[in-house]
Amino acid sequence: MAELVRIERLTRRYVMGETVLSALDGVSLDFATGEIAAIVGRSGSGKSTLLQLIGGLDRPTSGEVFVRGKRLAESSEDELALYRRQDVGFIFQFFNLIPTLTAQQNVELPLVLAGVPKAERARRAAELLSRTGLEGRRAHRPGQLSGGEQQRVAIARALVHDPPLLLADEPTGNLDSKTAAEILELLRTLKDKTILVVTHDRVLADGFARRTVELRDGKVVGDERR
Amino acid sequence: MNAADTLSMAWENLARRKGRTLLTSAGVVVGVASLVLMVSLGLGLQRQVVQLFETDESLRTLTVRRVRGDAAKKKAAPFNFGLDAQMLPMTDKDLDEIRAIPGIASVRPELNLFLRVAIEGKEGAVVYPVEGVGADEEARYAKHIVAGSMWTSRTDKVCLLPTAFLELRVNLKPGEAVNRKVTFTGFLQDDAEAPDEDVYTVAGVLDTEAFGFKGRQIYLPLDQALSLRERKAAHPLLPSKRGSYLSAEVRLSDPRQSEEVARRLRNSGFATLSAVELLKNINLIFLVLEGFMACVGAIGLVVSLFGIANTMAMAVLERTREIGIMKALGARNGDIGRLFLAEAASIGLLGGTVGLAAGALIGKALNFIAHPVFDLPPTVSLFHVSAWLAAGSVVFSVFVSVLAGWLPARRAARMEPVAAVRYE
Repeated sequence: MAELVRIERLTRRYVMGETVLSALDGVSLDFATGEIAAIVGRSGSGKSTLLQLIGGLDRPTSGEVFVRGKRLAESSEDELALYRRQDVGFIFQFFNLIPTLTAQQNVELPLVLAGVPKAERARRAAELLSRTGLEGRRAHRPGQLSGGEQQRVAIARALVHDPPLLLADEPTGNLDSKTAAEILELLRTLKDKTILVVTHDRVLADGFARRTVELRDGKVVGDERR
Repeated sequence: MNAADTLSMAWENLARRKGRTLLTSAGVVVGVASLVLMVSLGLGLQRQVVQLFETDESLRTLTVRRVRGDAAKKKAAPFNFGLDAQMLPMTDKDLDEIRAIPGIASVRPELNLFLRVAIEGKEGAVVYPVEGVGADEEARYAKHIVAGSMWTSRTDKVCLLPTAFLELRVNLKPGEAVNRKVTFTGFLQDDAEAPDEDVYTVAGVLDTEAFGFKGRQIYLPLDQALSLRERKAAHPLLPSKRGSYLSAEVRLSDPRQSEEVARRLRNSGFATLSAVELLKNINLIFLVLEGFMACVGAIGLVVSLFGIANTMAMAVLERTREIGIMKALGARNGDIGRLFLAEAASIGLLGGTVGLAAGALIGKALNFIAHPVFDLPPTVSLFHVSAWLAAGSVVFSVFVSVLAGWLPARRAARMEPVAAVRYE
């Protein structure tokens, strides 16, 4: 399958006072279009940093990220924003919904930022919310929703602009096991999307993804495909 | 993100923090209200003064004096009117010379005569200026009579009273004044001396408004006014004999030629004072006054600037996470910056609009209180909110608010998306 993401010798160091922390140290990987991969490792292994660099939320200290052949390092801030808006959908552990907006408004937000007309974005957000099983919850605010429902809203938001790349950082880390299984099932039904899921749960990774990349101290120590 | 979405998002953000938005706007309200109040007082006073001069009659009129040598040709300081040059009494020959200058319709000698005036049926006497109207100008005065009529015979003892005299000095309606007897007494005579009285009849009442600042004089047929002046010389230093005058009133055929005719008169050795020149100087003085008042009023607005800056800085801190989420979802730095600027501008718009209304209402209230206290005529309004002041104060308040929100908005815009999302 065609390659969507290519990572070359990616390094990210954080300077904290006198000490330099290497969160990511010369990582090279690629991910194909439609591939579902789990990135596992302990806390502090650099897996979230990797996701943030792929998603254009952060810039590497050295090395390159190519998405559809385009170098992210060469992109200006606005081009990175455009990339996040068109090519990436984020799903976070703590959902990161905006608490004052309703489920519908949260899902519409990426389309608002992209300047999509009102009627069109309402239609698409409603469609995504029903796909994630939340038709009846559109007018609820995050505080009125359960954890699983909030994560469904977040997934709807990540999909509403139909990005080719979905980046999920511990998407089930804050959910009970039954809800977690439902959320993973929902992600698995998505077609034609490259999905990278960061998790510290090896069992969950094996059950969900056909490829598991393991990171330790910022380096790739395992890359299994089944 | 388009402008409509930015604005509606900004308003929702402000609406969900109502208390803080209202308190911050209240600072702007006070600032704008004080600004509007101060400047509208200046504008109101300016309008009162300017109205005196801006009538067609005023703009058509020049006051002329004879000065020694070529003093008139020098550019006079504002309001100086040839007073630094030695003034000469004017003669009938001077008047004829002026009549010959192009652009001048008529010339009337000014008597500068102040007399004590008593009207039949009213107690006491009022000191008031009395002037004469020549035969060539009677038709013009007749046009502005609001009660009674122009005199029919120049030898009858008749006069015209201005409405300002009736309203402000003796409290009579124009219709009630017609045909009453008016008694003129010399200004400098002692009450104990046998009063040298002259009794006239009111033929008609002149509309003060139409004449502007020349509308506050009592008019007699010129010949009678001249003999009255001879008999009751108001002041020993002022000319009182026929053929000798302090100044003359020149009437233009076209008010637009005021400056041109004034130049011709100065070249002939006359100092001139016109409503147009006066207005220029009055407006300049008021502009300075209003500018100063605007500065004083703007102090409040500048203070409220710090309130807005503080509110916006807090909002940025509180919403670090929200900013990060929006950036992760593809918001550009500019989108975030504009959102915060729109919130600051909306506070300014809200505060500015309410402040404008408050300033205008306080002005109205003060005007209401001031009328009985200072015994002002009902037409006088001390505060005037012009369209420029209204629009300017709101625009200025929005501008100041955007300025105050600038740094917080920039800080929000430049926030690293990853740092913002990591914030738990």
